Amino acid sequence: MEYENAIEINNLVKKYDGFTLGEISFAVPTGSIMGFVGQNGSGKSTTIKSILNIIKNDSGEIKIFGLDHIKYEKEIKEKIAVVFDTLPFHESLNGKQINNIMKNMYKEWSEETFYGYLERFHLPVKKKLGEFSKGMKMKFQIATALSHNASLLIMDEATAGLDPVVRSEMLDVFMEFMQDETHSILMSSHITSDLERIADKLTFIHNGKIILSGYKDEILENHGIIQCSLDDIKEIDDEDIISIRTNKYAASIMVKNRRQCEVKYSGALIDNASLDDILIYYVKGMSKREWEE
Amino acid sequence: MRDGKIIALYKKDIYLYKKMFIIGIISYIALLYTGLAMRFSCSYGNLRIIGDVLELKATFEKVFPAVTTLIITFEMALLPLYSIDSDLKYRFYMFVYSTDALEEVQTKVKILEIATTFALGLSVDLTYSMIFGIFFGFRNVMIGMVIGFVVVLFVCLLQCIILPVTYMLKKSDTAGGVVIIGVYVIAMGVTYYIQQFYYDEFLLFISHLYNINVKAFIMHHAGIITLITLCVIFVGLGIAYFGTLLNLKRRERLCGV
Repeated sequence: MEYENAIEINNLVKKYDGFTLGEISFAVPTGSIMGFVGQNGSGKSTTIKSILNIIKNDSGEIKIFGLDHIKYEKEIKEKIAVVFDTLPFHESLNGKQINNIMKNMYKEWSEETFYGYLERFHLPVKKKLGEFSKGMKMKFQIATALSHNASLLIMDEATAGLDPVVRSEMLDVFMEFMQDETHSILMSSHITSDLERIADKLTFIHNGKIILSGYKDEILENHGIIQCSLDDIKEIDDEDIISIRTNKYAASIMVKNRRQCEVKYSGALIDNASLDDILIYYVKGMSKREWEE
Repeated sequence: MRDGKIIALYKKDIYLYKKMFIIGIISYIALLYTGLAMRFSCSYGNLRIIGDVLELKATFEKVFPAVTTLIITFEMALLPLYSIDSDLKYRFYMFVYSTDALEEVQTKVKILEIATTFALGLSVDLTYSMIFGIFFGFRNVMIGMVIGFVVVLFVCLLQCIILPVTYMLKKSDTAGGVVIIGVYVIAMGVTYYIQQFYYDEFLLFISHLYNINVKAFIMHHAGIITLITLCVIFVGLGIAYFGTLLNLKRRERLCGV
């Protein structure tokens, strides 16, 4: 079946006591990496669990590879690989045993690919998983995920807690995975530097709501930070402002239409905004227009 | 049709409990040695000078097969239960539900493990009884073998009930305790009732048991024994299958959401 999006979420709602996810809608185009950004507790993991049908949605529609994620669950899950924030395997097992288990679990399991990744990541085959370091466990999980010819890789905070060297190594592996244009990645993370490096699209979530979604380059291009004095704040139109950070002497104003602001407020100093900045200004701006450093 | 996923999950549990199987084999050998040594002692050793040595020989021939079967079967029965504890501890259900090994597959694995317990228990009962019988004759050993068979059935039935309760309570020790206490209370209640209202008949039945010709008894009541056995098996498997399936469908609970 032809499909444009690897994942399509429409008007998803899930309610818990004290937290509501939704309504949220976004899509992960086939052949792209979607970065799913948000603070801890913003709803990233809940969204991913909804996609995997681990939790039942209250309303909304989720399609994976163009198919309903509940009706065609078996067909879909053969082609999905998931990497969680912690290793979901028993610590008394070793690589050889995991291979023996997985070759029966997945129709397209490749022993050669799996052992290839273990060798590349310098992971011992016969050592118990409980004796691995955190970085080794994550590499092992990724090796397992990439060894059954999955078309969609979903990662839930997979690089959190890893050192920069290991994170960089993993990001390279994900880029290799994407060399096949039919592959897609949904990567949830609060480490925006990783997403800045590899994501094609970004979706920001806060308190269960999507606050921003679009192509990464466009988002970075469209947002900027105007540095000005406290008196100059009133010169900036409200419709241009996301939120304002102030200290005793100056203000930093995030704007969402940088090019137009450069023309409108000629002479203003507009800095580039990083993904971190964008997330912070949007999140802070949801409770207060002006907030102190 | 062979389902690879059933084999995968079954293998996972076998790998996890390799040590238990080794302990089971060692226990079997130790209990066989102990049984044979004690029985031989009744004929050639220190035990032959005890007062009623004939009674002692008969007791050993009946008890050792049954007790060995009980111990080994009980140990093997822990496999599907401890694997649930382990799966919950390591969040293995998060991984399983990201694959297409859904509830039916997982339930079938547990049924397969119950069948494994039954097969292993029966093997222990038959082989132990056979060895004892070859050395000491089958008259009393047959009684022990029949008791062993009933023990295997009973342990497997308990396993069938404890399995869904383990999923409900998310802890096998607690589930085992709850079910065993429940069974004990029911057994005490039934015993009390029988003693209160059918005491004479009960005494007569017990005295017959000691003098029973097992082979003749089984041959005479083969039909009813087979029927009862099959009913126990079907009821037990039904409880295990549907109880497990219902609990596995509560994915959020198992994944700790």
